[in-house]
Parts: sequence; C-alpha cells; structure tokens
Amino acid sequence: MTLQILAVDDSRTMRKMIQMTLENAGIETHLADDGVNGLTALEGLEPDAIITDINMPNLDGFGFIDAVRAQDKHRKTPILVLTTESAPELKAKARQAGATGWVVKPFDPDKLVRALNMIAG
Amino acid sequence: MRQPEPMADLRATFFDECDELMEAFQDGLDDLGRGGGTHETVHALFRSVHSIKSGAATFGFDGLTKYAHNLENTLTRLRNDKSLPSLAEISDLLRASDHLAALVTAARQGSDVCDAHDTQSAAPENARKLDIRRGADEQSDAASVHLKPATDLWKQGLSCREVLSDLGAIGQCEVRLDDDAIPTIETYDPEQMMLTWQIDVTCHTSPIEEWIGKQHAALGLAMNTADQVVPPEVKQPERNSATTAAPTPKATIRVELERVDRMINLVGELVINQAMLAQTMEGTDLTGNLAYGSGLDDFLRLTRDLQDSVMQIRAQPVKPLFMRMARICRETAHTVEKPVDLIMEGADTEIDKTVIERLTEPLTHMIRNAVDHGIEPPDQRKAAGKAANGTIKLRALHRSGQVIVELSDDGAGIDRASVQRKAETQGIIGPNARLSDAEIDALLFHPGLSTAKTVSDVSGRGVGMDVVRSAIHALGGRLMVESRPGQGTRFSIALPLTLAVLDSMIIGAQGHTLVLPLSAIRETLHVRPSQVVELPTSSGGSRRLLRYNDRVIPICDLADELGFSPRRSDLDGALALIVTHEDTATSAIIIDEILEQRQVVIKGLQDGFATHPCIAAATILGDGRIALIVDPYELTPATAQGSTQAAVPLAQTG
Repeated sequence: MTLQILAVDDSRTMRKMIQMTLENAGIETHLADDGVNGLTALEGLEPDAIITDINMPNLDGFGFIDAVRAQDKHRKTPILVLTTESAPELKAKARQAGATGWVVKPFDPDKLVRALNMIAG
Repeated sequence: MRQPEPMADLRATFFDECDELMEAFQDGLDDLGRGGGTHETVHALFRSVHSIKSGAATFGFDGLTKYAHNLENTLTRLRNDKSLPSLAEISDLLRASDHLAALVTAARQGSDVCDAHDTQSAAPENARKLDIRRGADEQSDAASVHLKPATDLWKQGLSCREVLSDLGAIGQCEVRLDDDAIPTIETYDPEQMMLTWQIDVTCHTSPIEEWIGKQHAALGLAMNTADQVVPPEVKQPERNSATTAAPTPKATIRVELERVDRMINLVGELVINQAMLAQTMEGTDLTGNLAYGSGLDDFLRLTRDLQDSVMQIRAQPVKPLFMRMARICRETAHTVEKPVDLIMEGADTEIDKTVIERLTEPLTHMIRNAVDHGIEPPDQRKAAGKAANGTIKLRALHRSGQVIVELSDDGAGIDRASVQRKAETQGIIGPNARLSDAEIDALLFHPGLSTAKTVSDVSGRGVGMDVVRSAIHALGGRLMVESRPGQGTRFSIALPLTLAVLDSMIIGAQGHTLVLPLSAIRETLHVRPSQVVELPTSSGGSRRLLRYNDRVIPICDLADELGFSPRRSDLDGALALIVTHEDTATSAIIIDEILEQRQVVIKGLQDGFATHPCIAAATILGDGRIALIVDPYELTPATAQGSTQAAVPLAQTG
C-alpha cells in the first residue's frame, strides 16, 4: 500500500524538493504552505505521516503540531519535523508539542524516505 | 533522484523564490523605516532570510548559507528584543540585504562566494564587532565607539591598527583599553585577539557614522542591538486601517513570460481578424441583418475584453519600482545632506511589466535630480518660510487609458532666468529671445543643458533630462514639466497602458495607408493660404511654415518626406495634422485623407528591412494589408534638436 504524506513548509523550493523526493519513492504527497493551510488540508486527509517545518507564517510548526494533536483522529499520526534548526531546546519543545521525529535540513533524500518508512510503515 | 534536469528546475524555483523573498525583505525594511512595521514585520524578515538559508544549504551555496545564517542570527536578536529596530539598524539591514542579493546573484551565476578571499565581506561573524553608543543628545559632538574585534582577527590577516588610525583621523580620540578583557595567563591564547577598546571621539557625529557605515560596508554587518538609538520622527503617508491590515494572499500560479507573450500576440491577431471580418461584412447584403450585426458587435466586445484581460496578465503594480525609488531618494538625501520626506501614492497602480522595467533608469535620474537640484538646502528652506524637510511626492494613477507617473517636489522651482542664460551661452537659443515659461522649461530637455552651478557626484553623471525624455518616448510616453518659482516642480510621465496596442489614426498619403499614434496629434485642420509662411533656404529651395495660434511651426509633407511623391506646391485646403510634443505644437503634417481612428496591434519590423527613422513599426490592417506606423516626432529635422527650436516664437521670425 502506498504511503500518504502531508508536508507543510512555507518555502516553495522546499515543498517542490520534498514532493520530488517522496514521489520518486512512490509516496503520495500532499502539500501546504503554512500551519493554517496545513490544518485545512488535513481536514480531508488521513495521512500516514506528516512532515512539518518550524519557521512558518500565520501558524508555526509548534502551533501546527499542537493543533494536530488536539484532534482525536490525528492523535497518533507520526509527525516528522523537517527544519534547519538543530538546537536541543527547540527539539525538546517540538517533542513536547507531540513531534515524533526530527530531520535537519538540508536533508538526504534517502534518509528522509527511510525515516518516513520507519515511523509510518 | 539527482538527475540533472529536475535539479536544474529546482534551482530555478529556488532563485525565483529568492527574488520574491528579497523583495519581501526590502518591503519589510521599508515598512519599518517608515514607522509602519510591527513585530510581525521583524518575524517576516527573519522568515525570508531563513528560507533563503535553508534553500542555499540544500544546494550547497556555502557562502550564501553562511551569510544568511549570520544575518538570521542578527534578526533573531532583533526578534527577541522588545523594541523595533532603530533607523540605524534598518539602514544596516538594508546594506546587508544588498549584500545578500549580491550573493544570491553570484550563486545564480554559478560563483558562490565561499572561502574565497571575499569571505571577509561575505561573513559578518568575521567582522570586528562595532558598537556605537551615542548620548541622548543626537547633535552631541562626541561619539563613543566600543571596539571589540573578532577573536580570530589575526588568523584572517586583519589588524586593528588601521581602524584605530582611521578613527584618529576623524577627530580627537581618547582611547581606553578595557582591563577586564585581558585574560589570565592560564586562559591566554597568543593566536587570539582578546582586547577591547573604548574610544571617545570628539567630532561631529556624522563623519563617525559614515566611518562606521564604511566599516560595515567593508566588513559586513555588525550591529549593536543592545543600544537603541531613538529614531528621528518619520513622516508616514496617511493610510487607512483597511490597508494596514495584512492583505489575504491571492492564489497565484507561475507562468513563463514567453507563454503570456505568445497569448498576447494571438489576441493581437484576433483583434486584427475581428477588424477584417467587420470590414468584409460592410458593403455586403448582410449589413442590414440584425442577427449578424449584433453577433459582430458581441464579437467586438468580447475581443476587447479578452484583450484587456490578457494585458492585465502582464500588468504589475508599480510598488517594487516605487520602493526602489524610495531607497534611492533616501540615499541621495543622505549624500547631499538634505532631509527629504518621500510620499508615495498609488503604488498599487498596474503597468505593463516591460514598461516598469524600462522606467527604472529615467525615474532614478529624476529622483536624484529632484533631491539634488529641486529641493533647497535646509537653511534656504527655512529662510523661505518652508519646513526644513523637503517633500518629494511620487504618484501613479490611471487617467483616460493612460498611466500617469508624477514626481513633484516642494523645492525652489525651475530657475528660468538661469536656464535661459545658460541656453544662450551654449548657443541653443539666440540672444534676447523672448520665450514663454513653458518654452524655457522645455529647454531642460535639450541635450547637454545642465543648470546645476556645480556638477555634483549625485546627478552630474552626464545623463541629462534629454536622455530621460528619450527613454520615455521610446516607451511611447510623454514627459511634461510644470514649475512654480518658490513652490516646486512637477514632472509628469504619461504612458500607454501597454506597448502592444496603439490608439491610432489611419491616414492616406498619395495612395499609401499609414498609421500615426493618436496621442501625438492635437488637432486636424484645413490649411488656408494665408497661414503659410515661405522662407527661402540657402540651398535655393524654400522652407514652409504654418502659422498656428501665435507661433509658426514647420510644415512636413508626409508623402514627400517618405519619398512617395514630390512636394505639392499648392497647400490651399490641404489637410494638416498638428503634432504636439510635451504639449507644444511642433509640426504640421500634410496628408491626403483621414481613413479611420482605431486601435492597432504593433508588429515590430524585423532586422531585414531597411530602416527609415520616421518608421517606428508596422501593423496589419482590417483588410489584411500591412501599414507602416510613422513616428511623427522624427518627421521634421528640427524636432530632433529639441522642441524649442522647432517651434520658434512668432516675435522672432515674422
């Protein structure tokens, strides 16, 4: 069964890159450009995993994770944070909000796919 | 996945995004500079740089990544600060954004500045940390500089000596070494720079600001966020609450420009096709048929609507252009030391993309002129009972199918006596010529006339208003000037909405069909013999002039000029088009008949055709024939030398 992923990132380049990476690996990819639109996109989806950036306008990654976790049906959906930030306190903050894993940008395409397969498969 | 083509595509996406982010970054800084920014603006600045950084890191542009990273750190400090950045900090950030843009361009061209000799300017963290702390009194004659060089200063082959001697040259220095910074013998590392200085310089504050600016420019950004300098009051253009609220972004798609242009061309063909169809229908049995008639009307309306919508695709708001001008205004005002407030209106007005691009240069020149020559020095302004700060207003608006861009200042106005004197000494006009105000103002557009008493390094670059005017003409626009002594000067640029379609008059001359731009024609009249003045020329021929209002203007026989037929000897009752130039009638063009007045699609002439200066382009008429578009400004040789000579006041000649 193909995996279904929602990726949220405000950078068009990043979205395109994630899409290319995942679709090459045969993963169905949905995209959103900030936390608010991520939540809207999530209404019609039940993805196997979510990838999110941290620094985004309107609703940042922490707020987005928080809001996702507040919904019953997404309480257990794995969430992977994909960001350039690597400070331990930010990682802790994300984990506290409910993130499953953390991948630092720039990402190795194979590693990202492997990480997704691991948490969602 | 690392095949070359998708990667190239991704890179293109990245650079496109960088352009947008850089623009957003500058917009944000401009907002802050005008006092209109909030904390969210600072957050947005951070996000822009952050996105550039993460993209750059992905593609391995190390120099760009590093610089963006350091800039991001600076912005993090600002973001965590309770107060908004000061004007000095904004100015630093503007410089940093220039550098960032340069690095983006370098990366795009394949030369990422990384670990090369340029790292000094590329990476702000390598820079010596400079703090400027000024007293509460902005005008104080002493500045205190806190000099804390980066610890790896020596490893980079830099030294503090020149910095200290530079400062010494600015004013009397009192240098104190910061004792606390001296390490103990255990922590001492001979390869690291560990000293800091406190230097009090007695001088006017502006040279030291300039010096620090220079250090910034040479060494990258090093800002002090701890010390807030109270920003001087900034005048803010009135805006209503509706515009301050963050606009909701509209959904957009990105399309290659080439595709849009192809579509514009096709719509152009459709317009021609519609005209052809209408012409074919005329004179047939179908003319009276209501169904056909209304069908044709609908077709006409839809074609027009389609054309308008397609043109709108190419249209862009002038805001980025205005923002760039605001910056140039600020920089020029700083250089010539005249405080100037810039007010912008109508930044949402949309103009064809190409027009915007080609407007940058002339407008830059005009802004520099306005600040340098238009606005008086503050003491002169005060003496004249005006506010010390000069005001420059940049305005864009739509008016009867044209876009008007206005640049006005509240300066001294054009010094007409001085302009006339100058034109006399340069032999542009005869001595004691009696010229109207408008005619003197028009002299400003004469090549080579510069009225500034001293050539400054701001606007005295050898580019005169004549070049500005040519640039505007090349866009099919007109440049007009109005000036009131002591109250200021206003330049207006009137531009066509698009470069692809021309409102035109279709005329006949000796059996040839020609097209003239409607905007150039003021009036059509039948010539009476009493209006014609004949002057013999040295070559034995004669020059014919037409009395028009209170002046005489050259007569140009179009068919003769273009070589269709010899000059007609009898002008009695001939049809003449009065051509105007900057609102001044400049020539009378003799034609045979006016055929039609309508829009035509401009088709460029390919290089293979022989060029005639009077022929600007071509178009396809309703009946499928090709007609040439005439540039009326090129028709009379005198106009090439400026409108004032072409239109000689009556008093002088006859």
